[in-house]
Amino acid sequence: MEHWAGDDDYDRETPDVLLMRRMLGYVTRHRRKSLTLFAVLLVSTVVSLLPPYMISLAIDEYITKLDTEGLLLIGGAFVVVYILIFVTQYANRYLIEWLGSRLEYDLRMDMFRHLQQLGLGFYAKQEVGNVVSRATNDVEKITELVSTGIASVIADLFTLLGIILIMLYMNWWLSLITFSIIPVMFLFLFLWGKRVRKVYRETRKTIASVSAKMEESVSGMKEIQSFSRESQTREEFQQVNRNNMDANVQAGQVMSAFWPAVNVFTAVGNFLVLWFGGAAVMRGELSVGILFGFMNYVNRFFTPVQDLSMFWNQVQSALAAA
Amino acid sequence: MMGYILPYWELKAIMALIVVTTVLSVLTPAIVGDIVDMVESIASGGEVGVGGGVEDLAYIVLLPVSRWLAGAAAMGLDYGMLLVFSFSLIVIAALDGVLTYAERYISTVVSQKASFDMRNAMYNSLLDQSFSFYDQQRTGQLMARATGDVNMLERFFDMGFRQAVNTVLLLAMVFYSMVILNWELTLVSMIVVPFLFAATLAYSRMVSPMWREVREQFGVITSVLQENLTGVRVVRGFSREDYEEHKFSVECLKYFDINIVMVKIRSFFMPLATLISSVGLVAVLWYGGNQVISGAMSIGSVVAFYLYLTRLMGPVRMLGFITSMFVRSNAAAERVFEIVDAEVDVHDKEGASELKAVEGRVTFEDAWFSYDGKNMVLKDINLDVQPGQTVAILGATGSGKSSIINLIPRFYDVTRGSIKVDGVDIRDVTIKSLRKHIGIVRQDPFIFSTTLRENISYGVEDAALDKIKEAAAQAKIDEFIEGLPDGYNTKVGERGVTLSGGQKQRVAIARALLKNPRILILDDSTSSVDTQTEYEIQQALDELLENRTTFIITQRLSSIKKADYIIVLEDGAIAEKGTHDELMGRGGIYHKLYQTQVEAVTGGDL
Repeated sequence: MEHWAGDDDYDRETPDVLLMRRMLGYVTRHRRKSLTLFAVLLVSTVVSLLPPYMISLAIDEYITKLDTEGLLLIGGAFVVVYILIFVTQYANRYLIEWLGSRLEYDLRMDMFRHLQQLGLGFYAKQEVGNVVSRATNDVEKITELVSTGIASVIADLFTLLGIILIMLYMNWWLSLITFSIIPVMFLFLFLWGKRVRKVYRETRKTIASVSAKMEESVSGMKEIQSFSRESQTREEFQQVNRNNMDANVQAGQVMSAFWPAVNVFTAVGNFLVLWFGGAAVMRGELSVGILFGFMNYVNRFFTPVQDLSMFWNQVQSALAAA
Repeated sequence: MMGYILPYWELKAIMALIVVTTVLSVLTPAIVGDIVDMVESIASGGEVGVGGGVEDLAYIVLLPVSRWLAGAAAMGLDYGMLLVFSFSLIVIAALDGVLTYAERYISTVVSQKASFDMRNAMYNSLLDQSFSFYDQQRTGQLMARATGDVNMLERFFDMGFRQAVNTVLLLAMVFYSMVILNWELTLVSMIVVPFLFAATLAYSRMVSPMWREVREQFGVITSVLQENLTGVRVVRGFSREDYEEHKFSVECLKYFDINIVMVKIRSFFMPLATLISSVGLVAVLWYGGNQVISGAMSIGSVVAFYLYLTRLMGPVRMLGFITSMFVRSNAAAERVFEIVDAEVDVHDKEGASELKAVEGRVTFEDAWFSYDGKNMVLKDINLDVQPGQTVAILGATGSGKSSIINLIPRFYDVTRGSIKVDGVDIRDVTIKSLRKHIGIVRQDPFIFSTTLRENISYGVEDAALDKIKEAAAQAKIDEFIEGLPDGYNTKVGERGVTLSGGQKQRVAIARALLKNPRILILDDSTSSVDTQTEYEIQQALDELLENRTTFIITQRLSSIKKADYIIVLEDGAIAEKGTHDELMGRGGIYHKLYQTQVEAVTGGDL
């Protein structure tokens, strides 16, 4: 934070690893809660992975074998699992959000203390509006990154690992066929993420200018009105405001591509399962329950990958803020 | 609030796209269900059969394509169908993707346009507000509204609105598709919907009052920080860092506490929504499973049901999110429109005329003024200042000195009585034309973060550089400016930090000189500059005062003595009025003030 100067500094590239480590340092301040969260995350991931497998079981072992009593039994098991999911998710969310709010507080106070120690030369170069925007809006952004970010990354990694293991266990060759889509997906996410980072920086720059302009106008309102400069200032503000709109529309262009692309990838995954798996069912080499379980896991498989890349995208935006 | 997005034609396009994409997304589960049925029946030695689903339309396309493919690629109809049906999922997703992309993009454009309009409206309102508005508002609060709250609304316009329409439509479509498959199972799976709604409603009711609180506290944090940064020199000067830190930390902690209460509610309700929808899934599995066992339903239909329900779960959970977003947006909208719709208490009268060239006679007639309508700050002021005269205004802090000078350019309007310029009531002319004739130099003038040249030519459009230099020379700031590396093109740091108080004042004097007004207002009440600067400012002022009607609040004896007459204010009323000599002779308040002043300057040996 020592080095931030003008607007141009938004383009500064600090090694991501360094910034990440710095932000993780804030989390370790609350070690006990963080560790509890970690444990809760583990349990919650495991239990939430159970239902699809149980459905496969229900189809293959009870429904197709016409066992009504067994069906009732597994129905009861479902209820128990779902209650477990509820409890762990509650604990999970509470801890995550608590840590997030606490981090926001810590970060804001540290920033404030630091601002109190900076030399007056800093204030000669910085616009107050800019600094305020960083200390308020940007701190909120970083917090979002940690609360919904880091925790869900851990959960997503567990989920991903769990799904891969279950799928391999259910049917290894169908798994390998399905996994073939992953490299393509990651390539897309990588290229897309690079674009996102660029447009995000631009929007942060433009909104800071809007804040700065408005702040200056409010502070200098007496001068503006005394000299009847309302219409000129209005034009100046509209220009800054328009730049902000344009930058955001551009960002929207990039962002809008994400979900449609992910949905197509998911559809390709489903196609692979249904085509290869369906043919195997017709040949009698695979059960319908496994086929359906596979589809369920494939659909779930892409959710953490989506989340991970969303997180990646949040990291981009937060790194621009740090 | 919706008024801001309704006018856009794009809204209709978004609606149309949502309808199409929703229809597309309902196709997929049925197709998957049919694939399952088909492979299941072939595995158990049955025939290739097609279940009669809702999606007859899709089958009219898919079946012939399968037959053609089976013939062309010399494979069995079963494999041909499997390939075509599975592949159609990709085609649907691609089509859906293109349309969704368009939908999202257009939606971004609309929401951005809306927030652009809102910020402009807000800014325009700020420009129109009189000083009484700024007396009540803190800059930080205003800023939080212009950024945080407008962003909130932007997100609502973009996501919330689209999602709300999408969810309602999806609910209807899915319900229809499910009823066609099996109405009994539909009823069973729908048991949970009322509970889900109830939970969502309870959630939004609990959270809604808290959101405003959270945003408000966020605004408080912003303004505390803002004030701290703006007054950084004062804070340092008085070594108040610890106090400031404590103040900031108290507000931050308050924000944290409010957030935690919200967190508890949120953490409970979100998983609860999942739990309720999961019960629906279990019901489908159990009841549907029994139906399959009794032969009333195919496995594929149960699978399709299951997929429909999972498809609903996201949007239904979104429903809770949207409700809370709607609540938050409402709070944000309230705060934004409070500014946009703020009443302007000083404005042009209807049919106000332009104030043409003036001589500069200023008359106060029985003028009363109050900020709040109750406590009178100025009482029955009567003054008649002839063109070119200088009036010095004296009085203790709070005696109404600043109020008098703020009334002349109509930064406030008089509560009773009137003020006239050349015999014309200033409320009968346009504010702009009135202020054109008035120049104001404040003791702590605001210097914009732009070049010195633009700062000096602030009141005059397209001023020539020689004129600017001339004004700077008269204000005795030319040498300083020319000594800077970029001269007149030097950019001033924010709030003029790189200029000293005396330099800022001289820039403001140059500003006023360039504008060349007939009436001049000088607020110079507490100058604390060294003798050299004092001398230089005095010289600049002499230049400025010449031939203008001048109101001056000052402690400079030289300025006071030169005034044509002096008024002394006490509790908002004129206590003494006259020339220096007259007032000295009277031996009243002025006499006393003068004595203390002289003693302060000379150390008592006069």
